[in-house]
Amino acid sequence: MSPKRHVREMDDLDDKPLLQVENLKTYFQTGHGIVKSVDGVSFTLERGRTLGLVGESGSGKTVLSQSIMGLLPPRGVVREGRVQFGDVELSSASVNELRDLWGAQISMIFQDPATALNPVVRIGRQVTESLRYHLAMSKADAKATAVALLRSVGLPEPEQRLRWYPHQFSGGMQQRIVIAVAIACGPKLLLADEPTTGLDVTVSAQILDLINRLQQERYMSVILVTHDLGIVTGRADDVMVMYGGKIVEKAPTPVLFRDMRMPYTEALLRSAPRLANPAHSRLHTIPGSPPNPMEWPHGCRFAARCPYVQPKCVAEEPPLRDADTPQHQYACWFPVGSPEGRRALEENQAKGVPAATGSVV
Amino acid sequence: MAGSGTAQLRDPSEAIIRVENVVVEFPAPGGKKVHAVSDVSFDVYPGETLGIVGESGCGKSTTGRAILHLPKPTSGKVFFEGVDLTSLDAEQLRSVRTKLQVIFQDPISSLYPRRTIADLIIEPLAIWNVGTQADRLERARLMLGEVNMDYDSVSWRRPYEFSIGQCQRISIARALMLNPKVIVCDEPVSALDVSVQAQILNLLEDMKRRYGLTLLFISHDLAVVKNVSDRVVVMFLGKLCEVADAETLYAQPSHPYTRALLMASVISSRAMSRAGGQATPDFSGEEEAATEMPSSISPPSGCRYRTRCPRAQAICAVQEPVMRELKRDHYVACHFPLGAPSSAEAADASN
Repeated sequence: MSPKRHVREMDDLDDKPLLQVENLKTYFQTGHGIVKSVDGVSFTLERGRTLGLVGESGSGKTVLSQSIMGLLPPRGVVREGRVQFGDVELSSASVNELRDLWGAQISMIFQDPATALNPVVRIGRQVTESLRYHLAMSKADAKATAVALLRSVGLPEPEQRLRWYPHQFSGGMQQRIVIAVAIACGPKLLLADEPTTGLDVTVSAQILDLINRLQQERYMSVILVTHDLGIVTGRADDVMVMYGGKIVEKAPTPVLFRDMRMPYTEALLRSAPRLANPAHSRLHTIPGSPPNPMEWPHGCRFAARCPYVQPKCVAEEPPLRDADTPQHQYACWFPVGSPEGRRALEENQAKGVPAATGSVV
Repeated sequence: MAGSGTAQLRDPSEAIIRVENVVVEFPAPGGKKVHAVSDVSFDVYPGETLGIVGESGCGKSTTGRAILHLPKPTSGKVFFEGVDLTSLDAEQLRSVRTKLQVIFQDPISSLYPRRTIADLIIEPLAIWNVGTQADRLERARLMLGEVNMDYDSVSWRRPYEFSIGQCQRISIARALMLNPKVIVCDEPVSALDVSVQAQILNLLEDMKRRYGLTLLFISHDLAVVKNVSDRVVVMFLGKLCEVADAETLYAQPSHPYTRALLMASVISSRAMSRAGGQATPDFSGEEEAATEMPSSISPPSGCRYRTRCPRAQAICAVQEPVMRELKRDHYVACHFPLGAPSSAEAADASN
């Protein structure tokens, strides 16, 4: 590992978006057919913003973040579309080019900190590795920086703990170490894929606050990938909701929670149990199960489970279009809260359409 | 908390499950012991849902398993319909267990992968030699129907062919095959997406009503527990902190740990509630001093929560708080509960 100094200067970036994703498609070739995990996703991310990427299992959110990062296997994957990161085109970058960016410009925090850290390497070396490689720091400088980093992520007594192994820490502390590794070289973009899913509620709240604080201090852009709409509130500037490999709604966080247009977003919000509910309250359910990524249904992919569904939904796929509220996009023919949406819902309720009754496959 | 005591126990003649001073310890290296559950007492009335909440390592799953004797508690008593399970021999216990069933967190690993769904579901009946094969399959058809699955299209399949939510439905159907009275649900929805979680929670509520079940619902998710439970027990490091009915506990948490848990989950819940037009109570107050779980091999002296507690005083390190009734049917084990006189003042007052 020869120390190199090659962190590309990207100061001209401030006036254009940090990340531009255009019509990104990621298909996997399997023995059973082609799995269309990400099927045409476009969005832009400005510097210093936090974007929440929300979806259920199988919605393609993790594959999307891995596609942006360039972490997919070289074989058996069909890729299309563009991922423009600053002045670098990530989707066509070679592994060597990517290696210069990983850790230095783009970092990732994974769901399970225990497997993200190398179990047989002391944490000190895991934090200093990228500092030595990307920033060509001397051993002593890297060590001092590592101590400062670990302190900033809230690890007590970092000087002594540099010589500890990952298993000597709790899950919450391991995730803090993973965050320290991820931010070590001051990346411009941090991808956090379900960073708190395995952690307890109190620890989870602290880790999310920590990511938020670091994001503000360092003016990073963050993509927070999660299945839990609750954790993006108050922490993400914008939220994208993914369903069936596509973005079905995107809006500034308060707008999404107040004026969602997409019936899926509404259903997702309603199905979450709330502290304010009285005991034994019946939860709203989304009937059926997510569509098969090998053969996405024709038309809107949520149609089979949607209480607003109309013949048009099955016939024609709704495009992602602008809402009246600024920076708000949704993909639906009969949006929530619109006259046509209300009419569609009433008609369905009058007819007792199965999708609206909560029946289950 | 983190206290002992039995003030929270109600009339023993009515309780279907009564756990008295249960201790579960596991051997640890160096002749030490893991104090997984230390002197825990609670009871459940028939038809009630008792929620047990706490973070990982608090002993909530071990408590649930101790009721089923998986494994048998180190000491203490577990009564089921007035019978002390700890005094039964293996054969008696085996027959009582048909009335006590369990649903685990990971439904895929709790269904044997190489057997068909029909085989898996009729297994309890086969073990107890109930009815003919045709009777058993008929009951399997009925129970799968109850969990909204079609017998003809699923019975010949194997677990890997189903989603995790469907596997959890199958587990529920299997748990119901022997007509149990009590089901211990150990984190039954933690592995599921919210939309599937809602389906399973509604299903559990339906089954509870239809079959007159009593549920022990173990979860780390406060909102989930609130939605299903009549009464809630908060645990920390093998001890009980607070016991109250669900509404009271969430509206007026008295133990500092309960409030810390609520604070951590309330931010998200509040935003969601706003979307749903409901108000969520405000739990802001002192922050926890730390969030690390203390060691269960050498737990802190006195109150086990004191190392994290923002209200801890000298007495908390010396004397373990005992469960006491703060308000009617609201019990807390804390020297300095929120919105109430400290235990010393309370003792003075009663003198």
